[in-house]
Amino acid sequence: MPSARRNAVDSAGFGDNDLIGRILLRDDRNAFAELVRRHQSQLRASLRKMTGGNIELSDDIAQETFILAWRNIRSFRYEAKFSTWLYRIAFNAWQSEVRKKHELAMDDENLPEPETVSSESERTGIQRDLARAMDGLTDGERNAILQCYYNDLSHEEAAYVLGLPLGTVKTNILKAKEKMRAKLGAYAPGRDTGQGVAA
Amino acid sequence: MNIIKDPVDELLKADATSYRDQHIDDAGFTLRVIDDLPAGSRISPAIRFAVPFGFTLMAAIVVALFAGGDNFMVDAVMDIATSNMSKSAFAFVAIVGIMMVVSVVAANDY
Repeated sequence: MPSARRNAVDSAGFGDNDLIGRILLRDDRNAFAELVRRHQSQLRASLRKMTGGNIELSDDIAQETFILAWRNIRSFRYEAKFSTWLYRIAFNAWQSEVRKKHELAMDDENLPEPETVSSESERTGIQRDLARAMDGLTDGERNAILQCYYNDLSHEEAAYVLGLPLGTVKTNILKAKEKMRAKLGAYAPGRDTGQGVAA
Repeated sequence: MNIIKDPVDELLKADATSYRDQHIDDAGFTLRVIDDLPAGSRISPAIRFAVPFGFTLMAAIVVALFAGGDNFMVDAVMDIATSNMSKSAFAFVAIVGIMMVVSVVAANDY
């Protein structure tokens, strides 16, 4: 599994935890602004992936995530990295957004078409096939893949973010990869596509 | 030794790496977040829970003293069961309502 990312440290040598300390002591908005600047790109990219490329919606959820983080920073227990905690808040915010939309529409047909980051034509063949393979996954499987690969979290961190038992996350990853393997058979080693990966 | 890597794993890792390498420009995002932050100092979750809980408890004691002491709860439940909205019943409903609101607020805390 991908290794955990190091705690972000800015040029002045302040780590995330130092900045959180300043917020807790003095309600320091500048320190919080630095945290937002530091994590906005990762979080917005992650949400864009989660929302299927809906830029407006993902930025709204990212903004809501940071505001929730500010409101609840006193409940941050340092048991996870700040970025992982943010992913957890963002995932919960995304889930409540999905629930709201389902309550309004009751089916996916009435959901607005997302403004996508990149069109099909801008993607490479592999990326397109990968995206299609991921479309065939259940929500739980897709979420596990997104957290573990695209957000670079360990299984344990993904379980924390998704609020699921560790075993469920591992099972979802295995099932997802099995399904994707079936769909992406053309990229398997030994096939004459030039795309196979074997060492 | 020849190790066959999982092609799906390799594809996902490669795609995830290119995805993580992209940088989304701030373009005023941080400013918008800071502008939208709630004003004033925030109250810790423990205090946020303790204050209404404390007031509710005090109110319950006061109501219990004025509405028949030991029999307050029994009287209130009996009155509610017989649709008699006495002072005890009203106070009991109010206290339960406040406790429920406090619980919801505490439960929504991340």
